[in-house]
Amino acid sequence: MNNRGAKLRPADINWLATALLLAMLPLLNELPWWMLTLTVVMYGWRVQINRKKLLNPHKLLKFAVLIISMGLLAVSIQNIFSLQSFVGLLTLTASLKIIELEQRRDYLLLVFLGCFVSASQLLFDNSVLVFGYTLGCFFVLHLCLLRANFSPLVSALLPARELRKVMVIFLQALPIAMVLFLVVPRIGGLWQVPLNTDVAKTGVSDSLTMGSIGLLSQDYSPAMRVTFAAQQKPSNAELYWRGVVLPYFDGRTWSRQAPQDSAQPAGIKLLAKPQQLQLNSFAKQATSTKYSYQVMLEVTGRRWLYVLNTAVIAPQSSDWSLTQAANYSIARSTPIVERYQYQVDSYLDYTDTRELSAAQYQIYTQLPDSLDASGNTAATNIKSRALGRQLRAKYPESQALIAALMARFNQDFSYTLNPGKLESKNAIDDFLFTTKQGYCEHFASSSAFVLRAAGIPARIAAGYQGGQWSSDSSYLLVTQADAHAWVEVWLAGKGWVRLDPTTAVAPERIELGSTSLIAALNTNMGFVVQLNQLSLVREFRLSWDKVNYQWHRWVIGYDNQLQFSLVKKLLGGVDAWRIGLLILLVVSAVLLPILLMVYWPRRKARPAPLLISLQKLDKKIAGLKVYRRKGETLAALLDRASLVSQVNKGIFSMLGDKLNSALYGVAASQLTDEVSRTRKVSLEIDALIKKIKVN
Amino acid sequence: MHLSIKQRLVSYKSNFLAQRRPRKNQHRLKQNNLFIFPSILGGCYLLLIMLLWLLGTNYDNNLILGLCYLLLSIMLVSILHCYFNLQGLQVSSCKSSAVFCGELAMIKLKFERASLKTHSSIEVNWHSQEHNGTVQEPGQVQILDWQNRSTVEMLFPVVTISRGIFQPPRLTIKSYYPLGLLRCWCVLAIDSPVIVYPKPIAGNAHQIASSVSNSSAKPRDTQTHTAEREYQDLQTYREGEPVNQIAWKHYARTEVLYKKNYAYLTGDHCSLNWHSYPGIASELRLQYLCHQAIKLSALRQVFSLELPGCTIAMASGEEHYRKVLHALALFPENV
Amino acid sequence: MNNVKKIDSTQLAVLEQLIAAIGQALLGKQTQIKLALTCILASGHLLIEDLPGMGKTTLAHAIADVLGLRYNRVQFTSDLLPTDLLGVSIFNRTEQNFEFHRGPIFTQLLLADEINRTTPKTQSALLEAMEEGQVSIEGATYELPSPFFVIATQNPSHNSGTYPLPESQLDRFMMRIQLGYPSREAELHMLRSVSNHVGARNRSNSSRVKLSALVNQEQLESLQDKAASVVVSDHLLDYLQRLIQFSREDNAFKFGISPRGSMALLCAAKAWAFLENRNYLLPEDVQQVFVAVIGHRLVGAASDQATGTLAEYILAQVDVLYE
Repeated sequence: MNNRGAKLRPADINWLATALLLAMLPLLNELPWWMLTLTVVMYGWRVQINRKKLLNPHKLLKFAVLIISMGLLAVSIQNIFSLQSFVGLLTLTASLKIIELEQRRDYLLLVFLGCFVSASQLLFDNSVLVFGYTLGCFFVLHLCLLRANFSPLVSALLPARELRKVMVIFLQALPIAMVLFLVVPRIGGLWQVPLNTDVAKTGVSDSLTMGSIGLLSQDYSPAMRVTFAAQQKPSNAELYWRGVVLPYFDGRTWSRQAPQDSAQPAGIKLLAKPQQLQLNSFAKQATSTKYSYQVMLEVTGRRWLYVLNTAVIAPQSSDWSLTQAANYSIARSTPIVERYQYQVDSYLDYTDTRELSAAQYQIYTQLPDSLDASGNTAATNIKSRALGRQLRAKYPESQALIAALMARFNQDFSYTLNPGKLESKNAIDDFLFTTKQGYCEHFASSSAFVLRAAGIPARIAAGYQGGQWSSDSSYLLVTQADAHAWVEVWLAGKGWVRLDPTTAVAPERIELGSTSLIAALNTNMGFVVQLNQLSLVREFRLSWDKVNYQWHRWVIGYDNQLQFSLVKKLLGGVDAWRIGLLILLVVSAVLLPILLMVYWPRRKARPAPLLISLQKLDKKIAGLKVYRRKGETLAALLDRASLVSQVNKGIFSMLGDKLNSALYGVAASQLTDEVSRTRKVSLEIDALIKKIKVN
Repeated sequence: MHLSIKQRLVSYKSNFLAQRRPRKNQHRLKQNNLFIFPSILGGCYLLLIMLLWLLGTNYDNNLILGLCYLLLSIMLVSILHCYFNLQGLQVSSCKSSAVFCGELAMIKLKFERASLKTHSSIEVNWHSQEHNGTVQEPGQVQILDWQNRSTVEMLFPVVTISRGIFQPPRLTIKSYYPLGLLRCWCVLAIDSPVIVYPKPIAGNAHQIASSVSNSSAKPRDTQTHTAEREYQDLQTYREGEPVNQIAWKHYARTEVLYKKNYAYLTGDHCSLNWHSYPGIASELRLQYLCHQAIKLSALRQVFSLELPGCTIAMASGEEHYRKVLHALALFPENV
Repeated sequence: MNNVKKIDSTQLAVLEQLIAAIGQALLGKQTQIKLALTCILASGHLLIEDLPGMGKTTLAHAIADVLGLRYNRVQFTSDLLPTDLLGVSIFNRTEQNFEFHRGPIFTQLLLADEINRTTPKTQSALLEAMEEGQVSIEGATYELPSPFFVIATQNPSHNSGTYPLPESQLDRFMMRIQLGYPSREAELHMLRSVSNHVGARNRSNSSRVKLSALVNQEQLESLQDKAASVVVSDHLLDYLQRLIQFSREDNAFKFGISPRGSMALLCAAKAWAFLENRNYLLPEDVQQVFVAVIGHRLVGAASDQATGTLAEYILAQVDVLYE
């Protein structure tokens, strides 16, 4: 610290400004745009000050800028105690500090601030790409740190050398960091912090209007990923990811709660624990198949979870915030504002032998006009109601009635993504009797309506259907395009039974999954679909998704529990000594190459046999008190040696000829790699050297 | 004697080091003489890691925790980098030329690298040292940064305080490379003796006269001596001879360089004698004698030196001059 | 031992004759003559540096004579212009066009006497021709004859009235040799022969012995080819490279030897080995030519150092056998 480099080089400032801008860039999603402008202005000003074009700003001016920008920040970010305001304040400090960038101390402070700003972007987005970007920012910031450490006297620095140095440090640090990440125990939040709650609600909504799911049909962003335990995988036709149940219909929209309750906050009537256990016992019947699976749900901004019916919260799941409603839908106590993983068991094929209460019967057969408070009986969708009554009269048996309705759909209805507009008042009539084309929600909605008109309790279930298996079939990817709606009907003695009218119209929607069906439907519709058809793109999409999935499963979702099991699996136990040993092993694995690199050059490669002979010669003639001088050729050396010891003169002259021809002769240059020859020659030479007489 | 705590500390430290680390004219930096410790910046870095850890822990954000571990690992790795940046460096002293007391002795040090390693941003300066109760300021920091050359030679000025054989203070070699988070340093005692001649001080005329006249019958002032150099003849100039003897007038005429030859008419010569300065402190005598020697040598005169226990015969020339100054420098202190 | 092939005897005889013939003209300078011949065999340009009257010009003339090359001698003076050397275009009245009159440089061997007495402008004109093997004047390019050698002589640079050649231009000469004073015997022999010719009216005729050509151009080229085909082993290349590397790393030098310098060293050493009647290269060959080839390319860090001693310093510091 002391006296080193108080002054900064212009290049240093440029590097640092680059690093800071890089760190701030992704935060622009969360922060007002003017902060970037402010940073650039401050940087420009600093550069101008360094060029002596502008003066240092007056204290008052600096203060004014500070106050104004703080005010602006407060205005731009409504909630002052939110995460955004905290990060915003940090970024503001960093960008205003640039103007004061004069000494090494300021520079280092900014590097550290930059690290903090760059790390804070991970609070908002934790995808692989953003993490990679943050690593990049840290790299540049450490480059700045390295530069700051060089004295300004050493101006001619090679950027390549600096880059290499930082790169080496990072590459060596990464494995150690990975092990620390794996083994250092997590403590969990120390105090309450403001969470990031402004999340857009996506995916399936809590109401169903005709056309709302169609909007999702081309959205291939992932909705959830499911990993099944063991090798049991339900068939595609069983993959109904049930999220929300919509019992109320107002003529246009199916919703989760009665229209008159809409003033109250939306909520599922959740059951207490004993009731849940009772519910579970119904589900767990001997006949039903059990599937255990783990779901990673993308951010939805809503509280309900998607499960295969009938699901039971897995006992090993430690999350106590999950609760189950009487209709078997599962919800969390807080909205899902970040990726969420949960573990559930599902029992398909269950039967509920209970009776439906009168109140419930009333709710599930309710049709819009019957709830009209003003007594206005101007009923809508008269034709459909008539159809219901007509079917009831014809088929007293509920199942026969349903079959008839499905047969009707199968005969003259078609599945399309462009059903056209329906008459707003009598949409169901319009669909059933005029257009006769639509997709899942049209069929589901109209079926439920007709069934209710026929006096059969029915409700709409919304969620996803199907999904794509990853390339190695390790997990199932469900995209928004898989959004689906279907009907659940109450059959006495069986309970709520799933009825998907879409299967009657387009069975391939269920069998093949939405993606291929939509592709088939829209061969000439749009670019996105065509692109999607290309298997290459699809493959890429799937493998990229796999990366993301593994990332979220193993990195973002890495918690104490996972840590415990992983360490146990890796080391066979979680004793302190095992973990210590692992850390030691990895540190030495990093150290060893460095040590080798440092000490390697000292150990020279084994010299060629001829050179060994030469060393022997050196030793031998040292006995005659003749020492080879630097820059002395062999002939000169041997001449000198002959003068000292006349006895050996003959041997020396033979040696000289032999060595010269072996080292430099024609053969030496042609057959350098002929090992046997050089060895033979060196043996001859060694023999000659032995003959030298030393008194 | 009441020394301040700081002085005591410095004194204790230098004694300790003197015992532990003897002077050598060659040092190789390795694990037994290198120290390493986090710098202030390193402390700040640890603080940053702490803050990030808090952020990551409170928000339960694994990625921020991961970054925090990365920074920690970088700190660990840079311990090695910092150490290996200095490790293997060899410092050796070169022969330094003698100086007069009070002048700056230029200590020439040779730095050799081990194998083909690059050593970067190494700061070298004199360690602050206690000397006769005063703490000497550490010298100017010099930066060493090289890649391609195998050896680097550098001059380090240091103030000489007393006549005799001078040993430079201990040398501090330190480096914060690569990230400045750690400080790796060593303090070396370099054996690089410099002969410090007495500071030349002109004595008054009487004393000079008496000193010069010792062996000659008539007292002769050095000034008059020069005047009696007699121009004798011209010889062709050879390279290497003093330029001030060239006969420029002849050169202008003939374009041939001639040298003017002088003959010293005086049969006698000067003798510098320790005993010519009765009643004067021994150090001061040496300083007077030194001044005399410089003066006579500049005049290319023949002179001899007599010191108690040391006599240098009549001679002239550079070598003789060095010999005389040497004898003056190494004259024992308490005679 | 027997794998060492000898060079065929006729060529050997020719080489010996060449050395002997030049030795007649310049007495007692066996080494310098061999170096000069080496330079020619390696197709390099030669710079002879010494005081006036040491026999520089005699050596140059003798070489030109025995090699049977067409040669021109140009005395470089301070007022010599590039056109005086290269040639000039003159308007021809009858033909109504410019006609290029070739200068003295259009020859196989150019004796550039006292090259450092002329201005840098003329020096660079010559040196450019040496490097390119062609002359460009007023847009037209004229090929110089082949082979083209320059033997330049210069006075030691500290002599008055000289424009010292810059390092970049010195680099173009493969060798710089210094003749030095003759030995006692050689000088006596020379003086004796001069006094025998005292009766002759024209002294210059007597000192200038016209030698007859011993080789023709074809033979010279074949000799050069032979010299280039001398075998070099890896050990030797390693030594050579370490010599060069030392000049780049040691502090005694302002800058190291260029790759052109190292190539010149190799070529010259090969030619020397050829003159030594060997078809492979020994470290001795490199050492023999080293001072002549490298000396003028070195600049000491301490500027006053003689460059010849610098080259010897390298030889003394670099181990012949291993690192």
